[in-house]
Amino acid sequence: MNVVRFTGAYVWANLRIALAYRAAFFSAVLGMVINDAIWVVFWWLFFTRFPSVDGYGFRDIVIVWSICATAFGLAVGLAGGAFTLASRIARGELDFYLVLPKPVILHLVVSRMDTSGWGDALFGVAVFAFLASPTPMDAVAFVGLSLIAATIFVSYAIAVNSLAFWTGRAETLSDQLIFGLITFATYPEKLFTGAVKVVLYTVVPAGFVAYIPVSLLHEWDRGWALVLLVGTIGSISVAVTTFTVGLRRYQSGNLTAMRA
Amino acid sequence: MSTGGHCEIAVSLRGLTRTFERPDLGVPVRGLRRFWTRRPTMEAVALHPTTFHVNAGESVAFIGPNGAGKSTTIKILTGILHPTAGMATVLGHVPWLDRDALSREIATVFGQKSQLWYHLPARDSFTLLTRIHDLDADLARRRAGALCERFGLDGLLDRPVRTLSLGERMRCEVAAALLHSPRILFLDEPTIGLDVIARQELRSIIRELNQRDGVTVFLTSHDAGDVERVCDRAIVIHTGRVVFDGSIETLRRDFVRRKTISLELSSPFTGESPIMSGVVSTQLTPMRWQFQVDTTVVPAETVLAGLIGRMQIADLTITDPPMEDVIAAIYGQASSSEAVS
Ligand SMILES: Nc1ncnc2c1ncn2[C@@H]1O[C@H](COP(=O)(O)OP(=O)(O)OP(=O)(O)O)[C@@H](O)[C@H]1O
Ligand SMILES: [Mg+2]
Repeated sequence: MNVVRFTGAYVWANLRIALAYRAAFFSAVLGMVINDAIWVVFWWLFFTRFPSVDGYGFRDIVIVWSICATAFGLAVGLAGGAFTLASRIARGELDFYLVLPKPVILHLVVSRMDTSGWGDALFGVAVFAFLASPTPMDAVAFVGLSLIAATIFVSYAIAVNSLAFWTGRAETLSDQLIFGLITFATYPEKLFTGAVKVVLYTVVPAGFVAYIPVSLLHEWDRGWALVLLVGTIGSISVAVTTFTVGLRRYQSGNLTAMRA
Repeated sequence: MSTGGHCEIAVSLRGLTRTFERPDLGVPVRGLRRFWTRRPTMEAVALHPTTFHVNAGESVAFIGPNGAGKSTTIKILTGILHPTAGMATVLGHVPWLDRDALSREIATVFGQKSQLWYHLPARDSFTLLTRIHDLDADLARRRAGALCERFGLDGLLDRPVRTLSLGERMRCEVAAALLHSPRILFLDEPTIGLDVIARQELRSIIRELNQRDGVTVFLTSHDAGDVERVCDRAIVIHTGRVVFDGSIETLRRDFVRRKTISLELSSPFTGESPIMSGVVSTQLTPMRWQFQVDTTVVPAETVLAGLIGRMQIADLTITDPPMEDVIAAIYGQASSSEAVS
């Protein structure tokens, strides 16, 4: 319970900071909604010309997008710290968290909030509600699967950003890997086969953030649900291990810094 | 520096060492090879094997020139950095292994790094820290109230931290660090950048914490006043070695083997200025003379005895060098010179 209260305190504080700069907050949210909407409009236009590609229709793409946008939005909106970790490691900004009594990675992850994520999440939920015509059961599954996908997004971000412990500066690499994950996640799985598919269930786990959740939303399957669960636990373990091992190499720094 | 009786050891270092890997820029790796060759690195020693102990309730100044390894030591002792070798315990915990337990009993203040939330009022930082330390909300609020009164923070708590002056902010920083009633306070250059008044305020706050509340204080500073006003004991490191460990008085008296003899004369002395080896004499006025005595060459008493015969002395004072000079001497000293220890 302490963890929940602690996370809540951070969300509240971050929200207050965001609202102190109201214009920036709302334009970030709105900007993201518009950005996402453009993609869906593109796909809508596409499918009005080619109603189905290889059995894949507009509703499928809507579901993919709504899950990805909601999950990613929740991830950066609640756990934005995971996505800025590399630069903070390189600049030696972990000191503050290391002298306080909470798991360092948890603390870091909740310490930042990317408000544009709230736009993504808002968009994802709205699109799902209005365009995917869900049953109440679908809605419950959607929430659950989005949370799981968000967890995997966060774990992935922690793992790739933690490479900064070894490389010193890994912002570019980690940003690209995360961008790659989003890109692959928002395309239909059917496009990929063979070695690429192996990559999509390991190094760039689009399979776990999107393909499996989407297929479960279409059709519940206990086997795939189990695979997803194992994948989630696995990705959390990889993230925590990478961070913990890397932390021994942490070099701190003497940069004069303010806590933003 | 044990005061006798039973003394609980608060901080203990045994051969604590830290090196950093740095890219060795002396070895050029050019062209495409850069992309797959591992860049050559060199080991830079930040802290040579260091050993000392601090008892609970002491207030220790940890001094040494830039790059001596002071911040590195504090970072290891507070669990921020892992050491390369050696052992350390703080209140019985190994800092880098037992960070969670340790962090509930210690506090750290960095003069150069703010620990408050920049965009929020300090009051919100207090609320967050209450959650972070799992403190009882009522208890924490009362403690925050007491700290605010003591440090004169009224009116500061509701302004965003970014609008506070450095001095105001540092007082808030220390108050925030004390919210969970730590037993040891580590301070790394807490007065850096503060004006004279703010410095004095902060010093007396820290001094009082040590004297009245028994908080162990471990402080680094380049400021002589911080060392003198706040601490009872000094540990001096230079190029990674402890070159002095003793009381502040001993440091002042013995580290720089120099005394100043000032004389007020009852009749003007116009003769030849007395020449002795190890003594530099200055005539301020015919009635006032000053002699800098290098006591490693000649004892001050000998000099004084020689002067008494030649001058008619109305008043005399013998003073130790000011702390500034002591610190300057420490920093200027080559590592080879064996200081008192
Ligand atoms: N992250 C790092 N990477 C490489 N070298 C480092 C790092 N941190 C410190 N050093 C080196 O270790 C040595 C000791 O640094 P440290 O910051 O502990 O000195 P200090 O005694 O605190 O000095 P100052 O009085 O200037 O604050 C310096 O030579 C410094 O260059
Ligand atoms: Mg330093």
